[in-house]
Amino acid sequence: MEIREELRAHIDQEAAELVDAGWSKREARMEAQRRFGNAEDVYERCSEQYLVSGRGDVLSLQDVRGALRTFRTNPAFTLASVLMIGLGIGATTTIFSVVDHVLLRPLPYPYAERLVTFGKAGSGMPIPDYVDVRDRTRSFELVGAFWSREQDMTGLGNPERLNVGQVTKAFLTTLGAHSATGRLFVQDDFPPGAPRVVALSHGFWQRRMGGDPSAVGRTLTLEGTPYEIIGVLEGEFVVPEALERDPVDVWIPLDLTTPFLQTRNSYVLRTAARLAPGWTVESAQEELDGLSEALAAQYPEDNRNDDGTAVPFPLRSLHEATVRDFGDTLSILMGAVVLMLLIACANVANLSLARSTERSREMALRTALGAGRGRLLRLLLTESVVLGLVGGVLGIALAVLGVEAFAVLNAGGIPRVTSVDVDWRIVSFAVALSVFTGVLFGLLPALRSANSDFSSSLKENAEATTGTRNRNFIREALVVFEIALALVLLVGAGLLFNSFLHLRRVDPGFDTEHVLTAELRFGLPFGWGSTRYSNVEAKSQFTTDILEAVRWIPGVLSVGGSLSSPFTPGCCWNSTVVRSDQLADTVESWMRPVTHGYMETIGARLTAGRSFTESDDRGEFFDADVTAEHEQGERFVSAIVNNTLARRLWPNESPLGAELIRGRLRARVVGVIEDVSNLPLDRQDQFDLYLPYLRTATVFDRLDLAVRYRGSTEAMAEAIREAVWNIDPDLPVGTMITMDQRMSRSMSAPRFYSVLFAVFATVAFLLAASGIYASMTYLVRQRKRELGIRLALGGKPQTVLRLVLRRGAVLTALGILIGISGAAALSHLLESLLFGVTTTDPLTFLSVAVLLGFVALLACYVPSRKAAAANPLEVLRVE
Amino acid sequence: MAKSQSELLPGTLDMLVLQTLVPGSIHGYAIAKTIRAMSDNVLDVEQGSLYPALFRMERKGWIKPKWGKSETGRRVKLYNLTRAGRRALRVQEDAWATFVQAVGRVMRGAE
Repeated sequence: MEIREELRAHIDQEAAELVDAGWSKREARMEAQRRFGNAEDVYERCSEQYLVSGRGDVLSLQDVRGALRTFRTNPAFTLASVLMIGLGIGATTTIFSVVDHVLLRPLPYPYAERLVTFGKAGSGMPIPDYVDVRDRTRSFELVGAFWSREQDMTGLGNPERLNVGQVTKAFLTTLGAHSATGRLFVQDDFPPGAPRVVALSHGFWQRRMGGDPSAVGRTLTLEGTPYEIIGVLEGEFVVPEALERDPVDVWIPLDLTTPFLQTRNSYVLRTAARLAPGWTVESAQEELDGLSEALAAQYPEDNRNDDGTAVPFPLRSLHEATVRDFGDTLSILMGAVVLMLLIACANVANLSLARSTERSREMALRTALGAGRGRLLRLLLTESVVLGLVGGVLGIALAVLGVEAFAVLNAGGIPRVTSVDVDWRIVSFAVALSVFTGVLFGLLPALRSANSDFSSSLKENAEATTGTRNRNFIREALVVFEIALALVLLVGAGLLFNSFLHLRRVDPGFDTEHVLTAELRFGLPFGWGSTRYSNVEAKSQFTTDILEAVRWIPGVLSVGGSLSSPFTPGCCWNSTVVRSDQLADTVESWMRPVTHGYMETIGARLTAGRSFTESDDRGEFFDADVTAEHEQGERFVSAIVNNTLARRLWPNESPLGAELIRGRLRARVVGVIEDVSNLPLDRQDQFDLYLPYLRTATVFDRLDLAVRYRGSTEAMAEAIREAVWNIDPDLPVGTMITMDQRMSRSMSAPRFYSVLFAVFATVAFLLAASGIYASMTYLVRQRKRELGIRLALGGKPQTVLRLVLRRGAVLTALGILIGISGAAALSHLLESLLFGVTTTDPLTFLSVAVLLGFVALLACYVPSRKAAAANPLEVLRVE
Repeated sequence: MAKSQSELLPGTLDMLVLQTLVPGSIHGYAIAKTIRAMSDNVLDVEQGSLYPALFRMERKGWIKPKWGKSETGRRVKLYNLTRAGRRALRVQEDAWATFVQAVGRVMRGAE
């Protein structure tokens, strides 16, 4: 507006001089304006100067400034475009951030590409096996072991339950951990009699000691034993998520000579190793396979499977162990946001096309002034790239928020998410994406404009019908494109949502209401180091006592215990079982130790026989080390099987009274229950073998109570805690949650994904709908003259309405058709995320198509209705 | 639009404007007044042509604008000659001199 200001100043000055010469103010002004002439005309001619640029730069600053000026004069278009582009780029950048951090970046350790982890048969490593791997292989440069356990800390103010990591010296070295202050472990810290030392994690140091620099040298107490603090780990160090998902608070040396842990069937250690130069995962695995064969020959009880094969030591790269199968899920999310971005681009392209008609006069002028096709193209592309970049800035801001939200909400269980943030790498991606987006949505309108014949546009009131018709085709094609893409996204969201609904409707196989669960952890496995629960008898006594105590709490209807509550994967083991009379027919089944009363408490449904009674829990404890004799009677352990296992092993008969063998354990089936969802709801049809807890599980250090109660949940939780502390005041009680909460939490991942997809699909849907609306409005306005004539000539509004609607309906139908075929082709990608719903679920496809069709037609109807209602005279008069 | 006494030959407007810029900063209205005054009211610049010409020359890099204050304290856009502008002025001056001489020769010859 500088031009106007300058011109006005000129007129003001002339007027001022006239006033000085004696004219009246009013007349002076009028005369000055008259002398100046047609100010508007002058203004235009001045503006035209800006149109012609003689320079041949690809991106001239003048063009950019010109672009910004054009945006200022078209705020509605600019705002809408920036918003849409911003949304699309924001979503894409957010997901890309996650993908980059989770999948693409190497782990934050030195030589990360050579880091691997191994275990035994899918679980952790027993100490003797670990020592063998460490000493008898050449493929590793460094091998370290890690084990974590919760311990109670006192001596630093408030007592707290800490996650204590026990490590070998090489573990921290392998991961390149350094101390921020003090030192880390040395060889002398490890022998059994050595003074107890502890190293703090950075987070713990800040949190509990306020980052006190004199922390080194002080003492803290873990489970009654004092440890001297020797150092603090640096803040950047994180334990690999593949080995431990909860943060480790403090670190202590791991004594590999610990008694009670020297058996080859206690799968406790997690490992991290660095491949020696020249070795690959494959070659190292080969070496490990050779070792497992040798160990199978040496120690057949623990290292040889029932079928004679050696128990393997599977080796994986640490990166793969961390990322697991999230690659697919993230790729799907990435695909979804890209579709959303494409829809946004199509929308903006449509808006640009609309504007290009208005600018045809300007384009014609530029051509007349000598701008060639290439020049025009550059100019228009500069505009769209600038627009894209502005949208990109908004997108980056949105991505920062989005990444925050993702990390906080991450219920999809995606690993490494807490370290996701928007850094320069992500920003440069966003900028590149913005430029690309700008070219993408600007290319079509730019080509259209550059190639148009403008001679007719220079005439006043020209309609430039030929150019318009071509442009219309593009606009309609864009609308069809948008509808198709929106349909694909909506189908994806619909499938995920449907799947989630199915999941919610799955019958868990028992009664989840009014059941409280509590996780008790008492003592250490195999009684290492602890005073109270050093043997099986002490633990059995405790278990019996606590069950009795809780039973007496008012409001408790029944109580039972298990090794792990339903819906929690990963803490039970599965083993090969066979019928005693069909030794060749092996089945991999889950072992589930439960106490008497458990089945009743959770409301499991008995289909045959009985559940466990107290007498089942009595009798000799069956330790794996104890040789069982092949006898009848009390030497047998009672067992309950679930329907799936019963059908598998006894397809035509009742399993009651039949015998099962697992390793050296002999079990007699006393009952059959309906399947219980011990794993998350989407894992159905599992083989479950229930055994009496007090005869098979007390080597372990955990008992999960299930309590069916009446009344207030809070009060019951308090009462249970009290009952536990009455028996043992020092026993920590973990968090207590209800069974319903457990079930809900187990569904958090599917819920998360379906919500996410729904958000994307909704945005895409709104974009597509508004795009259709805008296009139809434009088309209607275009044909207003024609419509006005029709109306004036006596045509009924309905005919006019129908004309426009029919066009819209055709476009919508086409878009839906293309969209459905696209969705059908792509939906198989979602397979891994769906439950209970096929990838071509007809109900979903149909409902989405109907919904989109309805909204699209509505978006056509409204503008055409307005057109039909227009006064024909008015329409004609404007022309 | 009131036509003045003489119409400027196309192209000479630029030259005249550049010439008025030689002494220093000057704004649009003053340029018009100066040309009118210095030509003893013979040449009256058409307002409609002045400003487009100014913008054209600005784009060509001959003059450089700067916002400032006029004699009366009003906010105006002041123009300055650039080095390229000075060169252009010299070139146009030479061309004009050549042109005048040539026309003169023809006219004298016809008598």
